[in-house]
Amino acid sequence: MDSLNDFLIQKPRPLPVIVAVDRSGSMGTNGKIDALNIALKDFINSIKDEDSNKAEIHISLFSFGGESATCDIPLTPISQVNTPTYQAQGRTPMGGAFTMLKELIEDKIQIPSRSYKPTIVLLTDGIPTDDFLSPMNDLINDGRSSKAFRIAMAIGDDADHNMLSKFVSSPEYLVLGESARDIRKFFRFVTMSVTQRMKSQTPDMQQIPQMPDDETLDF
Amino acid sequence: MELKTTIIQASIRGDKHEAIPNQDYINVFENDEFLITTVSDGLGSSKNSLEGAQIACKSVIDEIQNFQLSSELPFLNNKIKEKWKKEIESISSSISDYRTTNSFIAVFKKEKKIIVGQIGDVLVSLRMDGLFRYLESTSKDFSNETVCLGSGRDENFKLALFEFGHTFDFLIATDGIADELQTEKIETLHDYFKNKFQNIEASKRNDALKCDLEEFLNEKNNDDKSMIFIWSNKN
Repeated sequence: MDSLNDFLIQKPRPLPVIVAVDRSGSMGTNGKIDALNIALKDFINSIKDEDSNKAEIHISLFSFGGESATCDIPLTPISQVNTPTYQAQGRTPMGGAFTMLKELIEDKIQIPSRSYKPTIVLLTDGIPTDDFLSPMNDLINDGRSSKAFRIAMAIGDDADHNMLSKFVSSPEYLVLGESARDIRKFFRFVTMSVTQRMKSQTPDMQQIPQMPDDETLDF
Repeated sequence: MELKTTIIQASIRGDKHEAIPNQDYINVFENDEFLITTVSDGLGSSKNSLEGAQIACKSVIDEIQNFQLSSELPFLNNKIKEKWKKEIESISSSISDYRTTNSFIAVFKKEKKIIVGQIGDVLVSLRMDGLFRYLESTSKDFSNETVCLGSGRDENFKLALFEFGHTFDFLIATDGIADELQTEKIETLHDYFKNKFQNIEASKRNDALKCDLEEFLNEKNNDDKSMIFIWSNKN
């Protein structure tokens, strides 16, 4: 061992971003699922460009639809992530997704204590069809997961705004959208939030960016 | 027989807003009876945490000198916490502005005993007569999340008492350093420090250590970085 550097972890501290999206049947209307697929790809590609010696974004992607929630991408360094394409179908088993998010964040093997606080991103256009209350309360109130930043988007009037206002870690983190176009805007907002943390001298302080104007979106 | 030791220490400020000072603090006290080394890491989110860190180190040193080894260790925990709280309350009504972690190693020279204490995520690793151990902060959830003095919760020092026969070496390091270390290599790091720094002129050791921290650790994170490494010398 020739230098102090030989004793150091060579990877930057992980900054986990955990995304949970709705792929229930209702997302198939008015172009929402297509907009989500495009927005997710743009989101992943745009934060791939962020580079820092002090933090490395790790992404995990969950979805809920059909009869259950699934983990589609386990926690992975952003440079290695390939985004899936979703099809809309079935119910809205959001409670199952909350349980999976909780399990991931409590796992110190997957998210070691040297990691920065995770950001959870939730997007939905409907009301949970499974038992969501207890899993959500566990996620937001208990243990390690309660310390994550939580951002959410409610698309349309059918989304459970009351539930989502309780889910987010700050009122500014609840974004209300009316149309498919707003999904892309929301992910721009998430990108700005994550990249501000990456560039910050204090990545564990809450960063609330301005919502992007429509003009800043390049369709 | 006189206990001879070599001490190296360094503290560097993290890359942060220029108005914020280095909020780490190291203190070493030595007389015929004791060698007490203590390191505090004031929390960046508390505006007077450097003072809190300094007072924590002073409280540790004062209370260890008054501590009887025949007493229970939780008694020492209470005495340090009470002393720190009383000192803070004498200057401010807002204890949370002074939040700090602290770790210490106190060598009772005549008795050949060592007390190790830790509240929060300041790493302590020690090797006595060849047997290595380290205290990890298991309660830490994420980077820059830690239990501390002044949190408003009744959090306690983890304390342990050890005996040594002939030799010891130990490391105390704040999380700006400790979070970047490969834990399986910490014992070898002790050897690295001893081998490297015993060959450097005494007056230049701390500067050399500071250069190492600046070269290899400053780019890793924005935290302040402080450490002390001590080893006993053969008589």
